[in-house]
Amino acid sequence: MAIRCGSVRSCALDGIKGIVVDIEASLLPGLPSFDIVGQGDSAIREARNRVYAAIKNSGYQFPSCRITTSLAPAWIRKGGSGFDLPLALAILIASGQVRQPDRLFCAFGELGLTGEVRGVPGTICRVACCLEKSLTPIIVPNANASEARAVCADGLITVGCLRELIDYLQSGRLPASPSIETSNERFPGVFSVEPLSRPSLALIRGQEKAVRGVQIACAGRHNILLLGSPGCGKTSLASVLPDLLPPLNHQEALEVTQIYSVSGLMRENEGLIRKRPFRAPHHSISRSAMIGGGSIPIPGEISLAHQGVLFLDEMTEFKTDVLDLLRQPLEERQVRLARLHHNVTYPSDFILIGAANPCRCGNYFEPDQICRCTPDQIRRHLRNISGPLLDRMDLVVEMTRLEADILPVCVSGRPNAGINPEDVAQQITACWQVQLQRMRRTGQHSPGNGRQRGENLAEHLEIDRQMLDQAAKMANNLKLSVRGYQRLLRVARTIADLDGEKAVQYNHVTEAMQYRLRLS
Amino acid sequence: MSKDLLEMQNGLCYLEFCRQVGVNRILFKRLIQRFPDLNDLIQAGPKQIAEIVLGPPDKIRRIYAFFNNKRLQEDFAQKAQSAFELGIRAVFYTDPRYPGRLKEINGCPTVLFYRGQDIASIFAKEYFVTLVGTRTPTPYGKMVSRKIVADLAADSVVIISGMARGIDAEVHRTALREGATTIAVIGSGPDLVYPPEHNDLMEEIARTGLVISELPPGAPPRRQHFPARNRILSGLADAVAVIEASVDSGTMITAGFAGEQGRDVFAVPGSILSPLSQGCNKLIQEGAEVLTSASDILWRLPKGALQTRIEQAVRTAVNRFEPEDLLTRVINALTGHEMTLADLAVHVNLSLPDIAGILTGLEMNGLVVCSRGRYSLTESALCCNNS
Repeated sequence: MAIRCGSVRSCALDGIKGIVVDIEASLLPGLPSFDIVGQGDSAIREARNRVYAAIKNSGYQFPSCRITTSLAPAWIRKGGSGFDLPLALAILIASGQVRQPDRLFCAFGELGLTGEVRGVPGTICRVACCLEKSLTPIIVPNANASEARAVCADGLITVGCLRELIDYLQSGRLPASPSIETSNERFPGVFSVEPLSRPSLALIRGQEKAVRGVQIACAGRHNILLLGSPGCGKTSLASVLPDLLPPLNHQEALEVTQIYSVSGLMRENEGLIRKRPFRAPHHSISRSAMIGGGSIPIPGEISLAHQGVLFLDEMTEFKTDVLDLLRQPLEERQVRLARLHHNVTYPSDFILIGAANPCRCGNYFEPDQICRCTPDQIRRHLRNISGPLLDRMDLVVEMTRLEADILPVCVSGRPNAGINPEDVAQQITACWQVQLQRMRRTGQHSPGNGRQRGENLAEHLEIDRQMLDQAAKMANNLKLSVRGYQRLLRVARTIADLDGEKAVQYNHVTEAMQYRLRLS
Repeated sequence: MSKDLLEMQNGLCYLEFCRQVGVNRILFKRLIQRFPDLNDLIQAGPKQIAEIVLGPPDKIRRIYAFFNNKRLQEDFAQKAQSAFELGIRAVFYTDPRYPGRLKEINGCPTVLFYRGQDIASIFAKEYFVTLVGTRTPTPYGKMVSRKIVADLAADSVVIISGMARGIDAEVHRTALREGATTIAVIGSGPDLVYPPEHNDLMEEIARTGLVISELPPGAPPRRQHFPARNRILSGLADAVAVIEASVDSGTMITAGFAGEQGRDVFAVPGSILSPLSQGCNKLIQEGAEVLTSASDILWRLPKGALQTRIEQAVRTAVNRFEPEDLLTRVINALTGHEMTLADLAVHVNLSLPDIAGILTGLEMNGLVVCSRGRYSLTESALCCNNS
């Protein structure tokens, strides 16, 4: 008896990388059965039923014999519904209904019961992997076409159903590609609403120190903590941030899109994500939702905020252990999720913005309100944010409630003439450029003053000896720790960059000093 | 004969006179008042001396004989000449160049011998702090003295110590390294070095500061000289700080003198198990100020210190503005009010970054504190604002 086998290439996901997987089907004599081997998860086990229905409903025969399909390499855990399409194809090839195509190709997609091909997460990662291995054409579901096109112009075949694919393989006839409008204007994040209905910087009143602080934080990618009474505008201020940050460059856009794609957060027909993510998880978030998790780990909030902003509102209300998980990613700008059989690294390079009340009742900063919190309660309130994490907040800004006389202006909806958000954004973009050049000049690992650490700090920030000594004297005078001194230098560098100065000067350091944490 | 040389000769003459005739301080004061120039005294006859020295004729004769002993006077002239060539000078109690602080103390030396820079210009400086301690310091003691002296030096305080081994030497060396003026008060004639290994140190001190002694050139370092020397150490300064000392040490004598002379005494607290901290801890027990940083001393210096520090602060914080103008504007705005950074910026009509810089300067000098997001004046700012 002739060997009845078929094989198709597909692509699995490992973090945001793709891995080429061989899908083989072998039809053997015996009682009818259908097994899938190769460490698949429950979605892959359930693929049997989808594949069966799709083959039948597309008008083909489902072979009645002992069918063994294998996802090789067998030692890697695989998951998701993306192997439905290649599984069906492998079975059809093994049973002789489709002839083994003579050229290499790669296919993935989920099958509906009627044979339609549905989109899958991680398309952009899989396409990138296939391109790297020169596995073209790449067959992707119609729903993922925009995403795939972002990285691959030629050699892409988009299919809408199983039949279309088989037609193409047998006769070379290209399926009619649907007209797709790519949308890429949204802010990937928790805001379902579009930019216009969010507050703009121009609508923020008062809080000049905080506005300046946020501006510095954006310009130098510093982490910032906003401390203030309830209703003083912490959340509004944080939510204008996405407007201020420069758009993603191509490389960054790819990384962000890959993370969103792997997480299944891409919308239909969504291409490359161009705007910086803004994530604002609720404080009840679990550990694995924060840093990523699952037995096959998926990205958490810190990775979804990659190249963007992670905003922790009511930061003191987060569970302490959840907050402490941020420490390592904040240093390494990526998170390694280690599982018994599986290690995944997701990038997580974000600006952390924390907002918190100064005490439990929130009135501690308000002279005309009564705060009944005891000194001990106040200390304990902020202690929820651990010292090492506070150490990583380059700027701390206190905010107090607005005076009564500007309250009417706040609700008037008239923009603040003093601030033009576009100017501010432009200034910040210029700062980023300066820092990018500095990175190239001084051999930093990544751009952004807020990300510089370690013993080469002075060299990386290009601060001269004399100014270092002066800053050290100041730090000593005001009893700053070594980390505090480093924070001072980083922030001073950004202020100098905002000023357009090559060298950090005395007044930059003295201003930076005012954004330090005071626990009194 | 130059005036300096004459002064030196008179100094030597006076000391020998005290020794031989047994004159006391009060008598000398009377003599000096009557004969402001010691030469007049030498020329004076027994009658004139008898007017002042109400003593037996025998004593008056002795005094007269002393001043008219040609050989003795020539001997003084010769000694004075050789000391003068070594760069040693003398200054009398009555001389305006004599350090004013030392005049205040009980039993101040009638004549001081010194080497180094111009005594008048050095004692024209504003603040003097004496730092003393054990001859066998622990690493802690050394570290403390380096830190405190460096910080004091940054505020141009003149650093005084005894040039002994250990803490004293550490204090002098740090002061020299930080470019501060330093004064050594020693227990031998200013031409002799004790301990001998401090030869280079003494030369270096003399190059920018002063080496002072109440003993004439050629006087050897003797055990009994040192306690007496200690009263000058404390007498010259506004404040005395003890870095490390055992309970029964010479350092404790200095601290005792400082207390009697009304100087502020500071002591660096240390481990209760370290014998070299027992002295300091005992001083603290007895009411000395605890010394934890240079600013503890700086705040206790006379009122003028504060004012200059404010001006300095403002000048360094923002060199673009008129210091007085800015100081008044910011401090007036904050007097009686607590303000946020933004409010203050509007009030003084400065940009936010500028006002932030100024506040840091004021904060560093302990004039402004920020609490609960609002800035306010400290007590020390209020007291110098009123003055």
